[in-house]
Amino acid sequence: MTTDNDVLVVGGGPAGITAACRIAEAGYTVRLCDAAPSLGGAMFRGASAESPLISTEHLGTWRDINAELENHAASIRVMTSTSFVGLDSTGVAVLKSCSSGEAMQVSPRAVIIATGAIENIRPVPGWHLPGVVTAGGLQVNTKTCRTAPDGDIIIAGNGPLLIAVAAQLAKLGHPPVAIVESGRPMLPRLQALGLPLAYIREALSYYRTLKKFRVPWLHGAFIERISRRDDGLSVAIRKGTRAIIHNANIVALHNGLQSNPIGMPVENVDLYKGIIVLHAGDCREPLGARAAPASGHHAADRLLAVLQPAAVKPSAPLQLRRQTLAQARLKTIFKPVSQLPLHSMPDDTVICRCEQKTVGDLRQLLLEPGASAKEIKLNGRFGMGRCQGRFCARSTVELAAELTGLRHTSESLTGNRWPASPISIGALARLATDSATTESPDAESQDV
Amino acid sequence: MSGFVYWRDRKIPFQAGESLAYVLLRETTAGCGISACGQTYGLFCGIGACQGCLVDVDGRGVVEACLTVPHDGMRVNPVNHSAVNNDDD
Ligand code: FES
Repeated sequence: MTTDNDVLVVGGGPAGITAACRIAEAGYTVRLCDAAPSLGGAMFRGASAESPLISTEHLGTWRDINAELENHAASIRVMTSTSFVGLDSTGVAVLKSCSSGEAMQVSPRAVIIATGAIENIRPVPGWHLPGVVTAGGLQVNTKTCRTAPDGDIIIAGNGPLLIAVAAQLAKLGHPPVAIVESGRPMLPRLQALGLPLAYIREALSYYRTLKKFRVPWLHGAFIERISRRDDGLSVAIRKGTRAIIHNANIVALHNGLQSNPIGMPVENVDLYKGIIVLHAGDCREPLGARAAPASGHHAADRLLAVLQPAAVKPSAPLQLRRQTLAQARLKTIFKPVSQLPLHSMPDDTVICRCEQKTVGDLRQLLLEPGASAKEIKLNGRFGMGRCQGRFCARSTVELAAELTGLRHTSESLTGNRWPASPISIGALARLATDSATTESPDAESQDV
Repeated sequence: MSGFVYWRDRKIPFQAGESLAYVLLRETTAGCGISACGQTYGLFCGIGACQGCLVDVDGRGVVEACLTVPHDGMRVNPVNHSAVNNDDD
């Protein structure tokens, strides 16, 4: 077992790297791991001056973050393609090589979780078909290779990310055939004017790109159904009384971001209660790339306040408060106005993709009144699949509340037990028997 | 690096920077595999959170295609889901 690093930082995006640097600066050693093959997180993956997909503002931020990381290279050990599996009750953290599946364990004094947000995806009939992806997932992959996927793309759902992804695809010479937005973001102009200048500038640049490439941006519209066609998908869109049918090969969905605590250890700043755990960045609260460095810095300060109580007094940075306000304003601007309640979706609409459980299945299950979250999970198999409820818990409890008036929390359905990412029993067993395991075979530390 | 991967014996080209899931997206209608419930599926979340892109690589074991960097000649196959499910239980 390795004990060579004081602090384990999980997630190499802007929040995680900033936290790692701040901790290193205070004289501690850090192990920084990320599940992806390169650092940057969803925001900065593939960011470089050659990339047409990053703005000067964000490129500047990323350069600063990287320069800091280089400054502290001697005390920060970077491990890419390494995901966090969990933290056991004795404070041992299990990591997994994403390429070999092999496990390793480390015993840090503290853990900072900065794994980023996950997307909210509102079910639509047919969203379980291959070719339906999340807009953020498509974006991350597009950023690293700087090429757009083949075929016609439709982007649908809600929020500013839709136009960001659309504009990026357009810049790669492959504009989407349509953006289907369920809000009416052009109406609350006064709200928009209250946004920080950087937000307005960014929005205008996307808007100009969409105009230039004549990408139709439908407001107050939603997808009624995605169905399979011989060589792709057929997408039925509704905008008021108008029904529109588009053919597409890829449908990218997105309805905002949510925090991502599933399988992660909860925050703890009490040395007597065990290992210190802090959450930073979008996995704590999705406030975006402009807040992430500040959030990472703040988490590091909170940690240092425990490790060196005399030296550090953390206070919530101004930047965090600013971004919280800006994000709230964005939510108002993009408030969905046309979106079907889940119970009015056809019975064959899949809610839980992993287990293929549908609106009809939940309706059936809830005919018996008073079902608890546990019963919905164990008897209905909602949230039982491999995504651990990340993409269905929210909709399941929303639909259950619509049908019965009984409001469960998403957490009551998902629970919060590790592993945070799946690991084979074999890898765990080898870890237990092979006490000499100090490194997984191919998860060497890499230079950035 | 660019080259070809083999999805079930079909040769699919890839470019530098692409994740394996992105490459398999070219075979969209085929998806990455067939779930326990018989539904095909593939790239979805792109960040290792949905587990919808699990594939077997070079017969060595199951990985998330969206977190995997393809290499030339990589042999990619649908996972044996009964095995995966046993591991889950
Ligand atoms: S696409 Fe979701 S885990 Fe790979």
